[in-house]
Amino acid sequence: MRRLFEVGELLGDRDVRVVVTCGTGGVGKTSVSAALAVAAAESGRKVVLVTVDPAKRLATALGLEGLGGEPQPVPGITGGSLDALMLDMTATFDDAVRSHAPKNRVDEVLRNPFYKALSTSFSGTQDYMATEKLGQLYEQAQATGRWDLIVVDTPPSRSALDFLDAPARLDRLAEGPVLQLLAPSSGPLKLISAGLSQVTWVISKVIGSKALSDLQVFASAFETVMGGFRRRAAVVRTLLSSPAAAFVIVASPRKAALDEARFFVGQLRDRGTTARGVVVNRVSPAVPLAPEAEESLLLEPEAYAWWRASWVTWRAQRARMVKALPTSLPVTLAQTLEREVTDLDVVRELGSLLVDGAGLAEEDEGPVVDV
Amino acid sequence: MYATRFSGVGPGTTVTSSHPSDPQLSRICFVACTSSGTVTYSHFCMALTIVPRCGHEPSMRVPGGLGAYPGAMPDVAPLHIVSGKGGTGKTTVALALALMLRRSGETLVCEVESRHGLTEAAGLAKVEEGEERRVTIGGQELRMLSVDSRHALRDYLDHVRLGVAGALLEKTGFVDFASELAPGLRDVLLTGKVYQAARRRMKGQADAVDAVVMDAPPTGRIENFLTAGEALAEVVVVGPIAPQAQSIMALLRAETTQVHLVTTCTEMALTETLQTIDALTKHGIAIGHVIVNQVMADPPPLPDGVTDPALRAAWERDTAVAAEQRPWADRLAERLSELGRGPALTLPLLPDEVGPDDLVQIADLLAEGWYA
Repeated sequence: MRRLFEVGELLGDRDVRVVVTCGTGGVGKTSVSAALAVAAAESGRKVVLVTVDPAKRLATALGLEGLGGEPQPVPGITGGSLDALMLDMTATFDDAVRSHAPKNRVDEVLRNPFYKALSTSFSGTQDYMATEKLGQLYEQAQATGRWDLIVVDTPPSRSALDFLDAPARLDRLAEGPVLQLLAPSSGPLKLISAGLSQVTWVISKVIGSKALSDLQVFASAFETVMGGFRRRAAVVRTLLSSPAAAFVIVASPRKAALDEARFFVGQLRDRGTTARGVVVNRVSPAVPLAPEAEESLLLEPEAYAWWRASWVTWRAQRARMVKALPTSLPVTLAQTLEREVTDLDVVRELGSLLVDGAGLAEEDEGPVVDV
Repeated sequence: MYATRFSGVGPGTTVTSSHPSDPQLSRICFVACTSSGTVTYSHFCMALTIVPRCGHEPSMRVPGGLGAYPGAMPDVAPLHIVSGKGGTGKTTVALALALMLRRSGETLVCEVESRHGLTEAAGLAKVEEGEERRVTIGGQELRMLSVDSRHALRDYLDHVRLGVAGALLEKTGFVDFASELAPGLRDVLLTGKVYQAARRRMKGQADAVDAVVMDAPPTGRIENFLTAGEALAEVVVVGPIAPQAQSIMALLRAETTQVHLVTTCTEMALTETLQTIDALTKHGIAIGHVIVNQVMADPPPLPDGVTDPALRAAWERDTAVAAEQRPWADRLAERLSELGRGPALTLPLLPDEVGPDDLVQIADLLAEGWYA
């Protein structure tokens, strides 16, 4: 038996202030995040749930249409409280510019075509904005005591690590030569060397000189915003590497998802953090077979085929989980629910499945029948 | 056989068409049958028809969209973009579709920064980032390409004769800048590689293919991904990247390009699928098939002798899941018919994970229903 991931214990731990879920798409990460948030709230905590999913799935899951960019109370929660919000990328970015940029540059930044493209269309911006939002919420929670737990559902990017690495990327970007090159008036590189002007020449060959000058205006304006972004990103980085942050990996019994889970464990370890555990979601229920049932099943080819397929699936899933998940990683299994996670009752049902916890047995139980 | 929506034409009608810029592509097309607003053309004549799409200039629709008629449009290989909500089996369907298309000509299947998803799904050794290789699945040989933005940027700089500058740009961090701060550029570079692959025949390349299948990002990101060229073209009006971004958008809007959406019979996946149809249609990008995957059939009745409670519970659960799916299948059918689209294709829930043999079986299922 693998060590059971005690979800209830984690949610009850008052020292844990942030729970971050990571996992690939399609494992039910948004549902699991919502279930964790609801379970924590109903056990008496003051929770805020952040989702960054553009498909508005959380809104569906919580029966709340049109979640705003600001935390809104989720009705029907007993015990503690639950607020939820959907990350509004553009609004968060605009707010950040307004609060971080010098007053006289705000309009210039907001009007710049590169800024507009960056804040509305480009997918990776979500990671920076999720960091910014988490930083805002954490600071607000510290200052007002409105929340004692933040549950973050990471953006559906190439990898949840894009979210974790956003603060570091922001630093690299600010310290790297590109911004300084594009905004030489404010950087330390006032004297443009021959090599550097060659680079701007190359960039202008690729994107044109009009775009280059727009980009330069944007970069110099953005540089003034950067300080504020980086300050908040630093808060988030410290928070995420502290014991106050807990990483929960969400997977499904599919091979790709389990491999990704193992990859996350390694990547988190490289960043000096430990994953608290993995939730394997949508696991097929065990299908044992009593000997007397077996005989009558064997007489009915269709029924036998149905049983056989369920049995094969269950066994294969179990074997895959045992093989793919590191032995040190606590595991809890959540069976596929009959209903989709689209209302608060089902979210609650998933939450209690997680808190009750079903462990992963190393060995198969039940007979292997072959014909 | 090839089908498209067309009004005012019936079985037996002959449609002629020509395109000002490609008069050599003028074709006579014989309409074989129609049903519920869908026109099916016989494939023995080289059918090409002009279909006006909302708000856009009349554009060409070529039967080669199926990839079955290599002669139909000699310059650009049909591009099949497969997207879907995460976990719906998008990669599996992309591979099966490639196997289906392979029966009619050379086929390239490519992934865009999806970490060896294709090779994993097919149980093959990794195709490294930026690499293209021949692979064999279920006895059929496919070309498989893994597109990665760094390689794509370097190739692009070579292409615009700035190869030497590539190293310089990489050194100054411009490559990081391009692929991290401005991921729109990254998306354009990725689709750019696929664009090149579709145009190999036109360029007379030896590695030309008759169809290209792209295992694209999931529906949550597909709109931004496919319209990155538009976003980029708005900020970059001159310079070589601007026409590049425009050509990519032109390819994506061409009638030889279709986005197929994989979904499951669940509210969330279906909602996302329908939203994606609306969003992409607004951008003038054509939707091909909706493929409903992992459809649970009603379990067969259990014999009376079976009393095992766990077995009964599993049976009841499967029955409940099948019943849960049915109304969503009906809802989808209704909505697709409102949109004037043909019915969705359905694929059954397979026990456990899909292996290479299953891929061939799925390709058969796809071929059966593809234009029916």
